[in-house]
Amino acid sequence: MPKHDAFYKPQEDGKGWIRSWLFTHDHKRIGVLYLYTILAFFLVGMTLGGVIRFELIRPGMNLMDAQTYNVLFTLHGVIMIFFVVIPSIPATFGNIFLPIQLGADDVSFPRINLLSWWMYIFGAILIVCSLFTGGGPPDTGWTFYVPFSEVTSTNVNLAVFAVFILGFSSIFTGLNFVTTIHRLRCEGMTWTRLPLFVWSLYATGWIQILATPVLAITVLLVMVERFMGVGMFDPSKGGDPLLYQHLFWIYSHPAVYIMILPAMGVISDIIPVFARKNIFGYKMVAFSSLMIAFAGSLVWAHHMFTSGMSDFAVLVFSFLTFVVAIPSAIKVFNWVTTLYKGSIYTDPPFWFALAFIFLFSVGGLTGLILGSAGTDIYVHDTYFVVGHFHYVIFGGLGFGFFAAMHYWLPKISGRMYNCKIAKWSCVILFVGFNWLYFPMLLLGLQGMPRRYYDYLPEFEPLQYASTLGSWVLLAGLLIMFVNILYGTWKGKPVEDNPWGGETLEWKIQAPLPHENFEEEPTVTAGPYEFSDRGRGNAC
Amino acid sequence: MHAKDPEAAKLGMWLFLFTEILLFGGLFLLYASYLYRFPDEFHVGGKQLSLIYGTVNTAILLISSWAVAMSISALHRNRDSLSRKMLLLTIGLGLVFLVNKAFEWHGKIAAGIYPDSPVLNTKPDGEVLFFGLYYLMTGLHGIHVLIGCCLLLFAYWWLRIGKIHRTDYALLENVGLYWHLVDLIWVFLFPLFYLIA
Amino acid sequence: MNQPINPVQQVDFAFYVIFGISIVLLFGITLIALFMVYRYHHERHPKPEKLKDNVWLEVVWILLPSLLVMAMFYYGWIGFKALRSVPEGAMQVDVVGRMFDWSFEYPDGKRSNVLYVPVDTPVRLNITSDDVIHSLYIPAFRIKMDAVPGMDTYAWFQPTELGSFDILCSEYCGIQHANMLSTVEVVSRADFDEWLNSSTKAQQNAVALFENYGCTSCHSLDGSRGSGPSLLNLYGTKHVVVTPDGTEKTIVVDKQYLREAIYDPNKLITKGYPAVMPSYKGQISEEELAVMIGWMTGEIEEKPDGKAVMENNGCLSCHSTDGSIIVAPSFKGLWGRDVVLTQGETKVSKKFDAKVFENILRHPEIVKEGDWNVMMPVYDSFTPEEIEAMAEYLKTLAVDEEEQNRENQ
Ligand code: HEA
Ligand code: HEA
Ligand code: HEC
Ligand code: CUA
Ligand SMILES: [Cu+2]
Repeated sequence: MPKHDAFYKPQEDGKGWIRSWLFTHDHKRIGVLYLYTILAFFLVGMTLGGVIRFELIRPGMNLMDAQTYNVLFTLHGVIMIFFVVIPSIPATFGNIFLPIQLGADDVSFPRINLLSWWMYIFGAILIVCSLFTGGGPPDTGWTFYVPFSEVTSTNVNLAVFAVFILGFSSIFTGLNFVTTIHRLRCEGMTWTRLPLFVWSLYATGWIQILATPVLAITVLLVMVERFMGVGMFDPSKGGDPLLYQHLFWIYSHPAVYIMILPAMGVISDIIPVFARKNIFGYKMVAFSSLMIAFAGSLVWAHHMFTSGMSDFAVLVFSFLTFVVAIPSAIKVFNWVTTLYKGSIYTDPPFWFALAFIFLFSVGGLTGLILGSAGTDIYVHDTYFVVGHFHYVIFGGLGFGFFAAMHYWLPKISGRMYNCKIAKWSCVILFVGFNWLYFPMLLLGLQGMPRRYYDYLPEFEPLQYASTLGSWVLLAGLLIMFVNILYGTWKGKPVEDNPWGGETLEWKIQAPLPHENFEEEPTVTAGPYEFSDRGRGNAC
Repeated sequence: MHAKDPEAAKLGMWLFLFTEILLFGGLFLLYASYLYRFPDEFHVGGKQLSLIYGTVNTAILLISSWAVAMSISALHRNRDSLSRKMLLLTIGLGLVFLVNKAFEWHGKIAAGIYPDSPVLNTKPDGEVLFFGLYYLMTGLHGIHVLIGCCLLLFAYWWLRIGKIHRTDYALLENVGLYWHLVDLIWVFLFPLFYLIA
Repeated sequence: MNQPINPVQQVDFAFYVIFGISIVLLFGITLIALFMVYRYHHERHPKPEKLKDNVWLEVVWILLPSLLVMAMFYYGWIGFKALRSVPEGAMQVDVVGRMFDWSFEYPDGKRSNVLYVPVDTPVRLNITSDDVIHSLYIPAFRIKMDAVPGMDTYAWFQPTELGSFDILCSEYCGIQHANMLSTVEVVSRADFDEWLNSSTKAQQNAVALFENYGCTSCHSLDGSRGSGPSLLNLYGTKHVVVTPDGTEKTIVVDKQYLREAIYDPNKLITKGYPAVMPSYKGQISEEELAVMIGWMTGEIEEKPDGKAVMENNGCLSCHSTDGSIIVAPSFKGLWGRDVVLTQGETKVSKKFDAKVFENILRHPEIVKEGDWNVMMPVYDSFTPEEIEAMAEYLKTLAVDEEEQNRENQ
């Protein structure tokens, strides 16, 4: 079969290179734009993280003064959360593969898709501007808690406005996905034949639509307060600072599920493909995504157990928090059960998936300590929380993202990375990761508060160990990125379906063509019904 | 190869309207919890707003909503020029609403009641919050009216150049939906601020 | 057993329960997954088996976690309830968080930056904040509570052993957040009472004099016996004294006697003590002497010490006294220099004096000098004496203009 031009090759429609990329309506190209911009921000955020660790290697001032440190962790948090993990998988691999997995040509609103990328860029420009204008970069932490964010003289205005813009970018992506999934499923693609990745994006889309507007208005209020002093959160005018926290977390808790659900979707797609076996409990896995999205919207105040809200509220929110843990547990159990009596191929994506399961479990289980009211009082706002969220975000979403890269990049580019190096990088990453973050959990149990640029001497050994771990992690990251990017550009060509997947993206050519499908495909079987023929060796 | 999918356009619009409602939802939550804390002060605050302005503006928006609906149904019945006229009427009413609003705000500001004003800051906490919310919510709503007017203007233009016509009017319908949303939100704001007294 | 159960044990028990279950689950899941990867590797198990749906297993996978999390929830809640149930009769301490220190106020009005508490006594902390949100964190007692402006929160604990325990601020509150530290000093009941009753009013001024001149190396200020008689409650008592020629007589301690005892100690020796005290004539000025005697007679309601007031109110955590910049203008050289103030829209430059100072304390926002990263909180509960004392102290930090000029050149 003659190959079509890859989608990233120029098309003969006379548009220049810049126009054909920056103003493209093609979901694949938009996905690639997102991929590179997000990776760039990831790099920036990681550098900031590395510098933070460097400052913390010893007590006292090592590299920078307190103000610089405060700015650094704020930027680190804002960049990582709003610029990297919230768009992450949906905006990149979601954009590229959602329409293909549905058998569609594109998303429902290609132009809005492009608009949301441009809003992302606009937000990025604003954040960069905030560094150099006004009273200097913001120093509030990524949570922008009032009243501090209202009184600090740093440039909080631009930063919250950037977050506002990014919020709408994220809403548009969610809106696009939900509509696409409703309207553009091809012939035979019933709801129970949707790949689990699509299910997870569907649940994510709803959270983006429902939760993000509240964030948008909340951070906007911070800005309005700074300009006009309306007093919504100002106790001297009768306002209540706790209401800000409620409004903020009404979004930001569901947002953590925006981060993790797509990664769970990726893992749910990868496990069956490499076990050559239908996923165990398809309906439960799909349904649990919706359950997480729903129940996850009701637990926001578990970030506020020490804030002084009523004890009854603590009771309710602690209880609901444990309820959201149940669907996550269901997923983990079902993934492991899927392996039973499969025929397992241990290629790199599968390694990353296994690492994901372990790291996410550690993160999730530490989340239970936080969800339980009595214990959270002790570890709230300590390094235990920092450890928890790096485990779930970086160990969960991050490793999910790496798994997705190793799974799909060969498909996108038509070229293969070096599998052996990929496995080694996975091992180094795994070791470095635990080395870096496990000490943080212990530090939290010792009582070390977060957002400290300087600390008491008893915390030194673990902080020191953690910093050493960050260098191991750095090594792993370098090896992995070099390997996979080199593979993407220069690797040896790969066949259309290296992993033997059954979802629609594996039925078209690699590298992906301009037109997804020559004619609308028809689906006759579920996404994970593999023939028992086994498969070739891709690596 | 892209077939037009008006259903998708409408679904997308509905989802977007949902997000708009939730955007106001944050402010409604603030309103609710402060009303719960300061019922008397909110009552006093509400008394200081002009019921006449409020009522007139409500009527204006309701009529304008009817006008967009008429515009769409006129297009159905192939009466393009009526459709366009109705759109212009809607825009006009929207502008009248804004002018009214401006007068109302101006009155209050002239009386020294605006966020962080010396006069307001000496009032009880509940009233400060009431007027704070009043400016925030009617302000945000005003911005939406303005955006709505711009969208209506676009729709008018598209009608003239034939981008919207009898068989392809999803755009007009969506603009209409947006305008109904603006109206709907006002219908909630009106009792919260003017009728609470 | 009226002793309330200590929340520390309840909370720790919840930790053990959750960690216990979690570790078992984590190891179980990991080992099973690894085993399957080994056992069903395609080289050992080339043909995947098609398994039918197993509804029962799915139900187990739902029920198992549900039961486990409910157990965790229960114990966590028990711990939380213990943290919230203050026993009756607990000692009350008012806690105020400010940028960037803590103030603890006891029922009799005594204030301190360190939390002294008697052992084995439940303590209830009533917490609030003057400016932004802080959080009072005492790891040893498993308590943490936000200090929120305009709101009162509480926490309680019961120390069971003597010692010193860290207090940290665990809600990010600005540039000095990491340094907003203090300690809980758990002391015996007796020591606590003594601490509480000592120098209730700020008496550091005379006290400082006694310390500076070394009086306190022989005389105690609290009634205990040293190599000289205690200075506490000396005034007005009857004394048996010995003149240099050996005659004994009984006198009543009055001002004249005290003056002589300091300027010419060997004229009259209190019976039972050796004649070792040196004369301070020429060393201690008349004014200083008046302050010291005033303290002993209790006549001079002691003037507060400006520096101590500033320390106790956290001023010195933002303003240095040596010219260096912490997060705000240094107090050094502030007195008498020009500061830029605003009144509404107009800017005026004023010489810093007591009046300006008082104004700034009440309305810190009027200062318009430079871009500082923190806002100074409003202080409107100082007494006029305290303000005066602080002003006096600031005066001592004034920099001679000529000296300044010389330094600049
Ligand atoms: C990807 C993001 C992500 C995810 C998925 C989660 C998942 C969870 N989080 Fe986390 N969380 C964050 C990101 C995330 N979190 C962030 C960023 C913060 C800090 C914000 C800040 O303050 O800056 C935070 C903070 C945070 C707090 C507030 C802590 C504090 O400040 O005091 C709490 C409290 O309840 C909490 C709980 C949980 C729980 C119960 C889950 C659950 O969903 C976890 C469910 C998963 C499992 C349970 C593990 C897998 C299952 C098994 C291994 C099977 C066996 C399990 C059982 C039998 C239960 N998280
Ligand atoms: C996607 C989310 C994400 C990711 C991937 C990371 C990645 C990392 N983060 Fe974190 N982090 C957050 C999200 C994330 N983070 C959030 C939301 C917060 C809360 C912010 C707040 O409190 O508001 C936070 C806070 C946070 C803290 C707590 C700060 C504090 O409370 O005082 C620390 C401390 O160690 C830290 C470290 C790191 C490190 C070392 C990495 C590493 O994994 C990064 C990997 C990189 C390296 C290992 C080194 C790279 C270094 C270089 C390329 C240059 C090296 C230069 C020198 C050493 C001079 N992060
Ligand atoms: C949180 C930090 C902080 C604390 C605590 C604080 N100040 Fe300040 N202070 C500032 C800052 C910042 C300024 C600079 C002007 C401004 O923004 O108000 C300032 C200005 C001043 C000035 C004017 C100095 C000038 O150069 O114009 C005086 C006087 C002063 N403070 C006295 C005090 C006293 C007395 C206390 C304690 C009772 C105190 N401050 C506590 C931060 C603080
Ligand atoms: Cu006070 Cu942090
Ligand atoms: Cu949460």
